[in-house]
Amino acid sequence: MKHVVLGLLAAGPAHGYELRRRYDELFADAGGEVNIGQIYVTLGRLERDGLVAHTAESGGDRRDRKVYRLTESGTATLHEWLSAPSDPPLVKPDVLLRLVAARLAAPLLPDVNPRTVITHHRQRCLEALRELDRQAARTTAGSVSGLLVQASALHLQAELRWLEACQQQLAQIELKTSWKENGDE
Amino acid sequence: MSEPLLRARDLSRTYHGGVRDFAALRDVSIEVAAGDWVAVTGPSGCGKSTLLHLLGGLDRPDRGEVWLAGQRLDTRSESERALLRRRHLGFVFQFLNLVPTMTVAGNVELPLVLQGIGRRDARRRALETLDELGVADTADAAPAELSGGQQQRVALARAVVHRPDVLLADEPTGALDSAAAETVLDLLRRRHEDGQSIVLVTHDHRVAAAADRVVTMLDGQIADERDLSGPTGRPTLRNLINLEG
Ligand SMILES: Nc1ncnc2c1ncn2[C@@H]1O[C@H](COP(=O)(O)OP(=O)(O)OP(=O)(O)O)[C@@H](O)[C@H]1O
Ligand SMILES: [Mg+2]
Repeated sequence: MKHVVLGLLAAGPAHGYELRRRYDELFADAGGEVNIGQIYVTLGRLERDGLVAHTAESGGDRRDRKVYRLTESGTATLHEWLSAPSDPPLVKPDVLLRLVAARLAAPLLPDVNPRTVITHHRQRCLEALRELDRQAARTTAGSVSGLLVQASALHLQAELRWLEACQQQLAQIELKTSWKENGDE
Repeated sequence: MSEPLLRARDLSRTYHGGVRDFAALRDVSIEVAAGDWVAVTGPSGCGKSTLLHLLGGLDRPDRGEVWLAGQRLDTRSESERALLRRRHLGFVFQFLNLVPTMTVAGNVELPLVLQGIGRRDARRRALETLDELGVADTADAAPAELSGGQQQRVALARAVVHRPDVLLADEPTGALDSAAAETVLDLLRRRHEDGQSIVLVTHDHRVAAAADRVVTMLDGQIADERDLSGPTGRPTLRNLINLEG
């Protein structure tokens, strides 16, 4: 949230509600929905660290509002963040761990096996892909949500292809788990 | 339950003539009810095209049965199969098979003309279908003058123009970029809504996910069959980003 707020302030000074409006416009259907409390908590921390500063602005009959702006240090922090490389999309090994564990646990839990792990995950990925395609129709080109949909769809496709590879190699996975006999000796 | 439109039981097909015999399909069973949309996916060489050719009566199994609209298909003669095919099926080949000596429009009109539909009507419907797929401007060209992606859409137009009971399509989006693939998917969705049964072979899981049922093949067998027709209701997009931190 920190860097996002710095980014939103880079567009110009604003009070909390204005920042939330900017945020919602950008991330609206992408699951954004940030509450005003989160914005103020973040602004508080940023101010404590000297990255933003505020001036009070009298809002007529309304209460005084704090208008926030980036400090020099805030701008530097934003610049540093933007210059750093982004995280590579490394795969979470969740399915793989389940796959291996399911193989190992087969004698103990006869109703689970690697095949069902693959099958369940495939169902989930296909459903997600189907749902994304439906949502893709509602996004506009170049919007944050549109780009997120594209990224997610491509990752899901890669995952499904990888599942095929897993399934093809199941026989080998099964052959290598001959520990049981060793342990019995 | 009524008889499915297309039904295959325990199909096996071994190719001979290579260095050694190759069992491309082993005991595959599949049912396609009226209105079903089935996607068949799986790695290259797993037997997808072989299965589709058997379902369409273009090839015969060594063992097993294929039933189309209540009639046994695989035991019939070549000409009888051709007749049943013409009446009930539309086929998109992986390697297209457009008639090179006819124009694009001529190719697409062909199934209609073979059904005895008049030239003018056939032309109108061919142009409409080409238009739906965004390639109406190629109507008077020869297939060889078209890009791979354009030819692919023409082949699809030819397969659906006569509104067959079942469309069998082998990689209909294989040569397409995502915008053109979307045009093809839109056409398939519309036809599906009109009750058209579809069996679609594809490498592309995004295309597969548009179907109601996804069959995954591995090494000549069905490894998995997933039903996607139920509601998912998963607000996936909302869970995509995590801006905390
Ligand atoms: N006419 C043939 N003679 C010998 N072998 C064949 C013949 N046709 C296909 N095969 C083999 O049978 C296997 C299945 O082929 P098929 O064309 O059905 O695969 P596929 O799943 O459609 O692959 P792709 O995704 O690459 O189109 C392959 O290993 C292929 O080499
Ligand atoms: Mg093929």
